[in-house]
Amino acid sequence: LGSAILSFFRSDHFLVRWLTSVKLTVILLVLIGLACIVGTLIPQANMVGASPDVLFRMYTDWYGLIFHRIFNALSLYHLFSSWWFSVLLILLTINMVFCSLNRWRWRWRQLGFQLTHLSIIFLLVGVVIGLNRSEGMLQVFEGDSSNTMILGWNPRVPNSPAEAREIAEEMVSQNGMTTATLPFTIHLDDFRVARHKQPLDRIRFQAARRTEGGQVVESRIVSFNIEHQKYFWRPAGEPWTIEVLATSPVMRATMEVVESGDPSSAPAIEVSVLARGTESRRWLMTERQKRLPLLPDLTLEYQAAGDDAAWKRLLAQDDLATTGAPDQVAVALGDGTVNLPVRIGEEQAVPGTDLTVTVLRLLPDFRVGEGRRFFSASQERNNPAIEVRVKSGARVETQWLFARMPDFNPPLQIGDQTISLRFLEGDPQTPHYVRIVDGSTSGKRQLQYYMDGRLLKSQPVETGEAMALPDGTEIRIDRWIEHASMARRQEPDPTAVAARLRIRDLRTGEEDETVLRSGASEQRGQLFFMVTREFPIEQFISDVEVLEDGREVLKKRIQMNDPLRYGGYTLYQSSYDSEAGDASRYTVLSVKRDPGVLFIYIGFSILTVGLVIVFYVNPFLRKRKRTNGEVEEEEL
Amino acid sequence: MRVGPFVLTAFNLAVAFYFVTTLASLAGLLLGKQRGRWVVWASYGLMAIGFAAHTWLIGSRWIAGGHPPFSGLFDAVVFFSWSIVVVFIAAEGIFRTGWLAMFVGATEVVLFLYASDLDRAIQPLMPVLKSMWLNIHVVAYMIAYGTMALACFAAIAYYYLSLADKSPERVKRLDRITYRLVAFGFPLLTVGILTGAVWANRTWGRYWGWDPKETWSLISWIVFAVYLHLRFLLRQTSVTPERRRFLLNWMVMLGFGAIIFTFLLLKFLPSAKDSLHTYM
Repeated sequence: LGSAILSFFRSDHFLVRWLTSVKLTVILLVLIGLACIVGTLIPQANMVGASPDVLFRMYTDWYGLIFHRIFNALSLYHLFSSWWFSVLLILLTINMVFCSLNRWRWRWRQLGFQLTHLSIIFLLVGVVIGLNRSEGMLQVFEGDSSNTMILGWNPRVPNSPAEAREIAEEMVSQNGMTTATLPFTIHLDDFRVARHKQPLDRIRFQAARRTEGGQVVESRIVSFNIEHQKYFWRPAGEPWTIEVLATSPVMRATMEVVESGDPSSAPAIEVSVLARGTESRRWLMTERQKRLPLLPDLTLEYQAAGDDAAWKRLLAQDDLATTGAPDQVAVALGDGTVNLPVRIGEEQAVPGTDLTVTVLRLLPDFRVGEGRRFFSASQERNNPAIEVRVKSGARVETQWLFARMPDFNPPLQIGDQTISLRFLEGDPQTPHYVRIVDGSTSGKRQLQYYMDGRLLKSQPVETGEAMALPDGTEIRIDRWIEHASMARRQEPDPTAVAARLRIRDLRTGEEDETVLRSGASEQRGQLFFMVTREFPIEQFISDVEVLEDGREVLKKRIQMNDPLRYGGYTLYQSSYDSEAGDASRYTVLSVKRDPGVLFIYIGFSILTVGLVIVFYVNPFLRKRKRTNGEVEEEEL
Repeated sequence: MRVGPFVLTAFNLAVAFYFVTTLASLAGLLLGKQRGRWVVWASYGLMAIGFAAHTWLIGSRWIAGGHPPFSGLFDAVVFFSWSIVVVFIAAEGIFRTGWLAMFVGATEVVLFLYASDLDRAIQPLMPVLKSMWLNIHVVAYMIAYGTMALACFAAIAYYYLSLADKSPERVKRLDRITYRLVAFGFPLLTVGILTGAVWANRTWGRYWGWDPKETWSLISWIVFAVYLHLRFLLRQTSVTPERRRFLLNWMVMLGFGAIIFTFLLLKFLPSAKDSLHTYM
């Protein structure tokens, strides 16, 4: 049978001859190479990642309408996934297999050649298996869980503005993106950006490279680590040498609360709040900072009861009369409407239906940042919005609701139900409210915890004692000062540095010294220089749990280059809330499942071994044979 | 230290000696094989001093940063030019050309002048670069790039010789040198691409994404693959050896051009701003 197969590949049929020819290999390689060049000269639609109308405007601006339509018809905007490019790759694979089998002989010297050319079979198998890979993005908030990944979306490029609208409408009807459900759930305990403890201190030089009419059009920036700058430096083309003589810390003034001894001063406490893995410390003074919106859903109040009557009155207060209506989500279904309180992260059932509603997050001042990232511009309620997840069985929809733009959202279509959601803004009272009452005269202190305006807990507190709230937040009074006043204190600022520089003018030989603080800049002629201190990012860390049927089955710390593998899926650290920076409260994991990778790696290994034999082992053996007086054989 | 208007650093020392090497090698070539023998030896000595300073520059940055200096563009250019010299030392030991130092020295000077304008801060490794595969990837690529650079120089010399010198033996030998360099570099170029793919898969979960950098590394690879196949193919046709070598040496120069484009010039592409790869 083997020889029958081989004789087929050696037959004289013109098609077999054509497919086994090296000429075809060269032609295909050249065509693929040219296509690749075109594919990088024309920005590919999936890389640009813009909306259909932007794509249309951009491409017609560059190429004109006629060429745009020709390019689009030739799929030059999706070149690497176009049918004709795939045909070229498949032809090349067939060509390589035919070439191999055509030249098949049971000789050692053939081994490298065969391995090199047959490795492509594994690559092809890997790619074909990979065609039904799944890949998407999973966004999870701290303390929340998700099993819904957003799938990549590669829109077709429109040929006219009308078609652009059509494609955009398709997008809207899918609520912007398509999703898929994972067979397990990821719960995010904590996301953080780890930074190096060691600061990176640099001196940066910015020199004008080209000026037009006194304006710097182009400049070049060179920077050095101050730590390593033991020598002079002369910026290219500049008549100066610069030398860092020493660095010194920068002092900063901080306000501190101290005991004043003045009996007319009011008391103050220093409070630590440990919430969602981060600890913050604040001073609360009954006279100044009485109330603190610590978290989006938690307010801390400090009250001093001047006398026993006030102490009793404050302690007896079992609901906060100041509260108006809480924030609510109105769910309109058919002819009925149900109002649910806004409780972030809590899955609430809509009575009488199989629907559940979860408020994922609340942004008091909603903004859209780069790349469709949503963030809050401030803590002020300028444009409050909530992100809501509605579930019905296996169907999941998410939507943003805007309190001040109630008609912004189209009704959701889940199965055969039409659901309208509204965000009813209540009094901006936070749902969690903690009040610490200080009976200054009696020396007693009481902590009262209110949820949605109702007193849930009231207990005496001591300094240094932590109290846990039902949502996991811990509150601890670290210090208590009976007669507080503010004092100024000098201390080194860990975020700043100053450098003493010696600058020498090479034309005149003059030297002078200057001290430059980080953040400030100085100018000499056309040269600007500044000192900077930063703490570079060391790692992005997502601490997650894998949940199956609500039970935790695995705990894992996902980092860059250290993904989580579970159930055939791999989850990579991909992104975070870059506007919020280190304070990002969510992580974005990129989810992949591609069983074809195994074959790709086998192909890679075989290809490498084959090439090593062809180009390193065979020439070595040939050389030995030649010195033994045997005939030189043909290359390859 | 400061010497008049010049600041004495490993960087400046290296570029100065490479410059003198170029002049010495050129003088050796002009003086001819017999009379220029000592000048050629001098050029080797000067190159060795330049190379020592160059190695010192890389070593001190390695120690200061605590990781191999591959990450920024400055380090990449310095390491690229260093690997050209390393491959040159090995290749000159085998082929004994005498004139290759001229090309290498000139290339070093150009690359150093380019690097002198770049940011020299040593940054801690970005999270994405913390991978063992990255080190294999970089080392394989740099040796491959260095080898292909020498192959390109040999191809340039080939054109000079085939125009000026009529000796068919020397022309044939030069063509053979070019081939052997490409044949040595090609597997490493492949390993570079493949380890890059493995690294990308471990970092982003995809081994190939048609990113401009990836696509252009494939284009450079294709040019050399075409070279190797054409060399085999043209021998079976009626094309004369002169025309065959003419075409093939063009391919090598084209291939090295594609490498330079991939390595340093991608930022001029309209699609480059969306690329995932840094230092652009």
